[in-house]
Amino acid sequence: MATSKQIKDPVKLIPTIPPSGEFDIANFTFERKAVERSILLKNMLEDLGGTNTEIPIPNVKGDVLLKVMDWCDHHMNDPPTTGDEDNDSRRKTTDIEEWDQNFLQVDQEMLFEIILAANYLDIKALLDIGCKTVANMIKGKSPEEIRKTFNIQNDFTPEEEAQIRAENEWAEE
Amino acid sequence: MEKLPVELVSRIVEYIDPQELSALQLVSRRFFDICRDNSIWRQHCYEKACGGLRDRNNNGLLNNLRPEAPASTTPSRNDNDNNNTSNNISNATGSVVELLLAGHANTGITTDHPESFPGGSGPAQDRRPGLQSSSASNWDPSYEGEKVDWYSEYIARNAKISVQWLQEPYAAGAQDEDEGIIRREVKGMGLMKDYSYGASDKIVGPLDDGTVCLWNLNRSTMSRRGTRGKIVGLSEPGALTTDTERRGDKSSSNVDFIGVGECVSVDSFRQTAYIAVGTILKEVDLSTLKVIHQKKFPWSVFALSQEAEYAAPLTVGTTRSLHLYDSRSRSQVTESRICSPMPLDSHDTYVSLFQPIPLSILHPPLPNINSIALAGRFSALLLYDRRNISRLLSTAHSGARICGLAALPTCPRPYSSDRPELQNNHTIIACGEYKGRGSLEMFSTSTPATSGDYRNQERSLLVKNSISQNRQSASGSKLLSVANHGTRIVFTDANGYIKWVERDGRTEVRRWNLSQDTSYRRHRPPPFKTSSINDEGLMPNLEYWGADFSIGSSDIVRKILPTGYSDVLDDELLIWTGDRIGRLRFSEKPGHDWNYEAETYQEESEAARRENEHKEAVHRSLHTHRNELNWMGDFGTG
Repeated sequence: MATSKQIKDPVKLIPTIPPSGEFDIANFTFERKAVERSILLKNMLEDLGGTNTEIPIPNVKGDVLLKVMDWCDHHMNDPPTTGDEDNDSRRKTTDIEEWDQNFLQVDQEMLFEIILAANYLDIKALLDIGCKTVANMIKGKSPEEIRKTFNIQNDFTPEEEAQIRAENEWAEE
Repeated sequence: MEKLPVELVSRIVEYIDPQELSALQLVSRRFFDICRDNSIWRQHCYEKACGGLRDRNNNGLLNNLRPEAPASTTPSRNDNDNNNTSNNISNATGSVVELLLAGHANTGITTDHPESFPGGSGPAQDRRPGLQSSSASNWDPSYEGEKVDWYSEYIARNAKISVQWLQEPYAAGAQDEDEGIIRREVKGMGLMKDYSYGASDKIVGPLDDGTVCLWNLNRSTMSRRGTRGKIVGLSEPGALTTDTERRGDKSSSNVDFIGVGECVSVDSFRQTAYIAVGTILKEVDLSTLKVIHQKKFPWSVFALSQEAEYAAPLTVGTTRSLHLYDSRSRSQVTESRICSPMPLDSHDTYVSLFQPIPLSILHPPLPNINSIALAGRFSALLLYDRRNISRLLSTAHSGARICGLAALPTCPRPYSSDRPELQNNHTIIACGEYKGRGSLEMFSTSTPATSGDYRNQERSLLVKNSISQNRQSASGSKLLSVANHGTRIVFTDANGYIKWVERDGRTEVRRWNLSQDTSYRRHRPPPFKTSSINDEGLMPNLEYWGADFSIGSSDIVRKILPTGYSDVLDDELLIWTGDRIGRLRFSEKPGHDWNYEAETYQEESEAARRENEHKEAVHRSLHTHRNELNWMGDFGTG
């Protein structure tokens, strides 16, 4: 965790929704470089100028924030993403590197929270691997299995279902 | 999952393959809406199109590598060269590999025509424009204001194809020992659309004994779709017969249909079909299936104009003349009994043609309501104005013999960007034959600025030169029929191919051969063409097929007619082979086969399939062998 290391350039994030259970504000001090993985926070820090290093974080629960910052910590020295490869390379592969895979071995609830947080904080790389992970959970499953996996209600009438089935005949093996 | 906002779910969905995406649609309404999003499927179409092009280049399939004939006009040359610079950089493995691979492709799977690859061609110069740009929006072939259902577009571009033949009409025949029944040939095809609530479209086809047959083409509800392809109406036998004495004679075909051109035209609004039999035009009421009027022309009728979005009198092309036939102008008191061919009406509006045999007549789309485009066995495309038909308005030189026309209400990319002056013009797509090869050509015709009214709308004129003439990669044999299908152009050739190209007329999207339809053959009773087809399967020389065309082989598509619906379940193509009609579907799942109800065929077909596979393998090895011999031969002579 961030606290175990010496932090050279600390930034304090204060979640407005604190994590459940015991809560030590010292745990929410991070390396500036890691915090800047988030475009939102990076811009905010720039706007605030060098001195102020305390940022309140609404919308993200404390424990999710910790998890997300965990990722940022590990990836803080990655080259910044340009955002240009948006169109092509992103969708080509659903490969995820091993560390990230392990990192996202969490329950579904947490996974979606991470995706939402990554989206809010504008951390593109994390958002991408989050989406890829969910996509991998969907792949190769039947509609019924997908419903089970994500606990989704089937709200089609039998007629609608038959209609869609007929329309999607082409894709069946 | 439920709490993720739509934009994040669609972000996830972008990682999922098209095939799996269709499973996801069944999960819930929310997923259905997200997974049917038009932009997602447009993106998939684009990726497939580009991927396909890249594959084809890498495999060196001849089409993209063949150099341009010097004679052909290349308005896009400059643009082309510019694109090439960038393209060559991105395709660094480029030319050399392609040339090497081209040799392999010849021995490989079915290429359209096994001809040799011209040696001295510079690979850099012959890339086609169209798909070079990397961005999907530049690729988008749809024109402004056109509505495209990209999901069915994707399916039509990629899904497997199968053909479902319509129920075959039989006639109780002479009491022969071998055959108690005679299979009737269908001699033409038309589509009657019925937009009224709960109604169904019908396919119209005259039979060789002069009977008019109607088939169902339901589109409305799921349950009724099962009756597609079923015969729903037959006129009395021989209703189209011109010679009254022979009407009762069921034994032979006694109606002189002209096998070329278009001899069926349907007026959906009035629910009538115009069917040309020899020199006589018959008007058939499709609700009663009775001939309500007929008219004799001085020469054989070769072409009838097809229905357009607006009401216009039928244009009839005979061997040497062009007539307007307005069913409203005849006397209101129609005789119910069939009268003998009437003499030519003195008020007839017609124009004689300088050169004989028109094969296709086109009424261009709105707002161009007064023009009539005409093509045939002469070297130019002719344009007439209905208000003054006796005067030829303008011509565009082609040089090819054109037998099919279709229209596009815009000028497609990339031609529109090269010649901005054509931007607002209509495009007439023509298919035909040039020096034994297929030619797909595009002409531009000006459109009146104002939709105006019938009287004072300005005339439209053809642009002298074609905007594109694809005589290289279209086909190795004569093209027979052309139509618009989704955002693509579809055409058929005398080798039995149905091919789809992008609207540039050059970039191939996909192809399919009628011989790939195994379901029909294996069921077929032996006296018909089964044996010859199997022989053809062994024939290494594919061009041999072309010769069959003239003697009426049924393995080519003479006419292709999209059903005109863009939703997934109704997007089909009707194909007419010269003796029967089929529905080309974008799904391999067999529908109801009207012609073979019994399940007992199942086993036989399995055996037949295995046999076919074996034959195919033999064919392939023979083919490879032959190519090897050729290759060795080259050493000897070179």
